[in-house]
Amino acid sequence: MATNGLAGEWAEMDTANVSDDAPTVALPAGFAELLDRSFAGVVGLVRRVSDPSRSDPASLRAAVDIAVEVFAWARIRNLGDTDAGLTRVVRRALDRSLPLLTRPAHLCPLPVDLVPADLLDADLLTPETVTAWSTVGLSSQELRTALNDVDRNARRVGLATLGAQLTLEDTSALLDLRGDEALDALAEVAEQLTAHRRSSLRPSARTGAS
Amino acid sequence: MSELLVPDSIAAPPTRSELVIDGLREPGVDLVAARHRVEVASTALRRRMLLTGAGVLLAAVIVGLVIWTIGRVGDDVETVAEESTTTVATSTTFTIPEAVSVTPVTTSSTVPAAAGVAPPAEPTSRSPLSAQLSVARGVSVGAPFTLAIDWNDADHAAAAAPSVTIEWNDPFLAAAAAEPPDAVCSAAGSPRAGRIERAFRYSTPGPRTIRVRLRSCGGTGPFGEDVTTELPLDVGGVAGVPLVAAVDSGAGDPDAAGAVRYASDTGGVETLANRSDAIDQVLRRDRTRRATVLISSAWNAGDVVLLRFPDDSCRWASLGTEGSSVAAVLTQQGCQPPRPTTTTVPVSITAPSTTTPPSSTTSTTSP
Repeated sequence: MATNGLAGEWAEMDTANVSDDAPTVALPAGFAELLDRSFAGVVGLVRRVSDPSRSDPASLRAAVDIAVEVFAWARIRNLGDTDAGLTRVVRRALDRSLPLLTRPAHLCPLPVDLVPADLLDADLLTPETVTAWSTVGLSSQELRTALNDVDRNARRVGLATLGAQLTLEDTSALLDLRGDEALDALAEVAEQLTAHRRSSLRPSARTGAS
Repeated sequence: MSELLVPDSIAAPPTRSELVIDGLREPGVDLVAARHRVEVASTALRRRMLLTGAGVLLAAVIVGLVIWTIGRVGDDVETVAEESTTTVATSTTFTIPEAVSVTPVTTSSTVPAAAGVAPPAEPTSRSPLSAQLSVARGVSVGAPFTLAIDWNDADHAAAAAPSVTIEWNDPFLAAAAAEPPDAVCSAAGSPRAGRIERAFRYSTPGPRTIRVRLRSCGGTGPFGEDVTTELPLDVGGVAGVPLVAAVDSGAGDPDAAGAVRYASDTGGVETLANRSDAIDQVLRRDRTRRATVLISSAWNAGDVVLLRFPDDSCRWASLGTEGSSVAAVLTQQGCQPPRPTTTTVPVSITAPSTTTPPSSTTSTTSP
């Protein structure tokens, strides 16, 4: 209960404006090693979600801000330099990264181990869709809508694979999932992608488009 | 150079997650500055946690004081009432004849019983049990959702919450087993309310009506309640997905008649003519095979089941757990059992009346 309340407050915390005059605490050895080993990687992961082309300097600052939040959270929980600690950090970073999928023109290319048929029913795989998804990817808006309707675990997998273009194998390793668990989670995302696309193709929606 | 002399066997090889996160490393990140910012941020966060905790504690103390004060006022009122009752009872005691032996401490019902008076009177005014049904968000095929039943009874006589019987009205899944009603009550109760939650997954899309029957005190007698409430909802999802009923490996020959059936809500290859009481849960979508798998909630984690698809192919799956729901871990493909098992969960699915299953004719010849 307290954790939930804290998470809400923590989400509003602006770590960039924290006063440097505040008293500091020494980082324990295990946590310091975790930070040294994975901070830059977490920044890279978050930035792949928000700006895969790395063209916007502001995306780097935003990614660093999120990484600082995540590692401060990890510091409070005394996470150490273990795979379990890294997994919790990555999960937290992905949870905080979903709002970064906001730019209308942003496209999410599919990772190398996924094809459009893995994500849409056959009747929705028009040549235009296959071409678009195979070349430039799906829109961030479409992905975000689908991710909002799945559970947290599936959202993380969807964000890591479709948002950050990690392979399912890499995603499974980072999130400490078995291969079939990651597949099931991705299937949930695919269900929502299919459902939303199908609902957008209903006659009323098509009338407006035409 | 000294590092080069360290044998490889001493350094632990990097794990897969280490390799992945290392590959994602963003160039140009200032780690020294990051460490400082994390230190500052964690200190600020810890301070906020302390302040939040203190605030919550203070609020709890205030709420406790308010409740305690209200309770004191209530106690005073009850004390006055008790004193009044005592006075009446005392005066009544004086009228009891000496022939009636009454123990010094007794219940009020003992006195009329000893005096040969009739059993407890029925309540003069009944406050019916009411219930409100709700679901947290939109319901879609295969997705677990929770039905919340908020009940309220101004004179709830039973000790426990009302028993619940839910008709989900899924065309392919059996209704949940009815909870047995509790015992008949002999006295009126006090105001009580609560929430009952039940989880379910629908097998097919379309409009459905959930019907909930609540019974307290057995649903009969002067203090019994028996109410039925409905909630219409629209189950979203894709129509036309084949349904596959899993069968436990204890059924033996997978080709035996009645062992495996599948269906489609739009008239697919084969139709489940009747619902089976054993099949009462949606397992999950098998996206690769475009099917929805139905199972029994009586099965347990680790049970091995057979899934047979409309194209006559098979998969064996071992049931696992995924939170409160049930998940399947596929073991191998093919229709032959992977290994002998001792699963004994009974499954009975009525054979379709219109079409002969492609496998049923081979049941007697299978080795």
